[in-house]
Amino acid sequence: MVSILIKIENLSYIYNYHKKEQIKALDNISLEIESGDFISIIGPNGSGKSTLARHLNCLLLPTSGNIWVEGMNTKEGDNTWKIRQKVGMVFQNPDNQIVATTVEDDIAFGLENIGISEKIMKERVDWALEVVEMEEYKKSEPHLLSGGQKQRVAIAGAIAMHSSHLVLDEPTAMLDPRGRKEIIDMVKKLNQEENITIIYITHLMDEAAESNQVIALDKGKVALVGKPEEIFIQTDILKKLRLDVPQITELAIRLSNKGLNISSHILKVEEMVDSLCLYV
Amino acid sequence: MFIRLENVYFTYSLGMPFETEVLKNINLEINEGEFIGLIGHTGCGKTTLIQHFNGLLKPTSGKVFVEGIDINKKGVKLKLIRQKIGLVFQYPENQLFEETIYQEVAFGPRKLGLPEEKIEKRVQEALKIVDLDYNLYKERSPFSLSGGEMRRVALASILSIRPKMLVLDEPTANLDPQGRDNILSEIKKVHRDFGMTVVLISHNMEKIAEIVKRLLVMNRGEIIMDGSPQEIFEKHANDLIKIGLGLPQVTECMYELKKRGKEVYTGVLTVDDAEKEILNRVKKINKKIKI
Repeated sequence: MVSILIKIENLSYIYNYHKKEQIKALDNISLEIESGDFISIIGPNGSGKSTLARHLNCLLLPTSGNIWVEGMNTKEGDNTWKIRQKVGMVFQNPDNQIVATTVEDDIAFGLENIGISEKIMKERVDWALEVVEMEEYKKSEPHLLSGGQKQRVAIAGAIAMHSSHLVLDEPTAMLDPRGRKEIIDMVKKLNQEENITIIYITHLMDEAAESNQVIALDKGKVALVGKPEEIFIQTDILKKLRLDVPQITELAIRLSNKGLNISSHILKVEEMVDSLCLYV
Repeated sequence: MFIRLENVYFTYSLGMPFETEVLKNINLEINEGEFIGLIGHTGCGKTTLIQHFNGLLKPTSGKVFVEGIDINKKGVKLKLIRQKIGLVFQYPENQLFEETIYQEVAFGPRKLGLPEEKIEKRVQEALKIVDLDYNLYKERSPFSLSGGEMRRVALASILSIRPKMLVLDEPTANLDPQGRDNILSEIKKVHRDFGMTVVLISHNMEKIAEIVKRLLVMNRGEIIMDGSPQEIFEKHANDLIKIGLGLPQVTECMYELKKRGKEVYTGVLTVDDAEKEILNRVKKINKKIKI
């Protein structure tokens, strides 16, 4: 049975609520996120992606509407710290998230703050390092790591808290192709092996294609929601939103229009190669 | 020939415990009017290399010539070299500092000592290239803009110097698809309309494959490939994958087909190319079947 872990109901958020120049960043959004989901959020700049993400662990509170994380309303002050332990956050710039002088201290930082015993802390740090495959860098200085490694340390810091949800806000935007692959592989592993719910914000459609549900935002509203293969065939809407369609999906759609028996739902190169092998 | 690098080596912290050799024996010629893409991993020396183009860094050994002049010789005015070669660094919006967009874009031409009416013309021209309406934007603060717009102002403030060559270090990093396409189409525009030589560093293989004419691939301080994107993807796809740079999705698709013994051309760069190649191939095989 699936359980709904995060429930968003009629969420609206207005920046500068008490001032003249109000900006409506989120406009009546309702969503349900289930246990074990891997959700990606796409949309142009200013569509409200980050504003939405910041609502999930009480960094922002709704102007109207409600959010419940495992039954706790984010608006109730008593819940704030409990929710933040449940929902880990990883941001775009790895350098802004590192606080300590060694990798292990950095990962332990959150645990120290909630007063966990040293023994358990050590166990958790070692476990988190193992999950993100960074054991050998335990004693390293974070500034000497590559961008991808730094982001893995940030992820380890979040999962060491035993967060059941991880919100990643464009975690690969500043990384090179190798770093990007490191992170997306890691996120898939956390979702599949550790059963952590993933909310992944990205501009890169090949990353969004890895998730099991895509939410496209536009001007603070949900424009599209569905499985990646359902979303990416709606090329007209995506182009109208000025979003990319993965190259391989576009190719599949064109070839299928030309009469080849190729599914237009193709998202990955492998699938395309398998289908094309029959033809060429 | 516009720029020539001859046996250039560069070492950071020479003689110190953390001495690191960043460039190894770089030999490179760039002609006027070329449109070049430079790719490679973080830390492979791309940024260090382009800083040699206008004398921001001096080679540990080797020489750099701009229009035949050895720029690191005594007596060479680097200021003149830097007017010819405009460098747009990563996150150039962090370097904005003036109160209005007009002042920001006028800064370069003013430093050149141009009279005010010429400065104004240059500002108008540069803002036009980056698609920002002069009258709407000139009095606004650069800090009131969106990330994509700020970056276009930063680009305009280099264009107003009218360099012969434009070097851009990951100009699309952190932008959304629309912001990225805007910047890239502006870069294409200066290349096409003003014949400006362009060197573009990017991690976006799909976009770079689409727009540049010549591709340089760096790895561990060396230029390991130099050729047209078609050539490089056709001949060196395997090496690109090995060093972890990856291929555009459509190129990867053709490469995988070839690995399975299919006779397809792997030098495809765009969805258009791939579609054509696959349809041609399907037709060819169907003919064979008929015979």
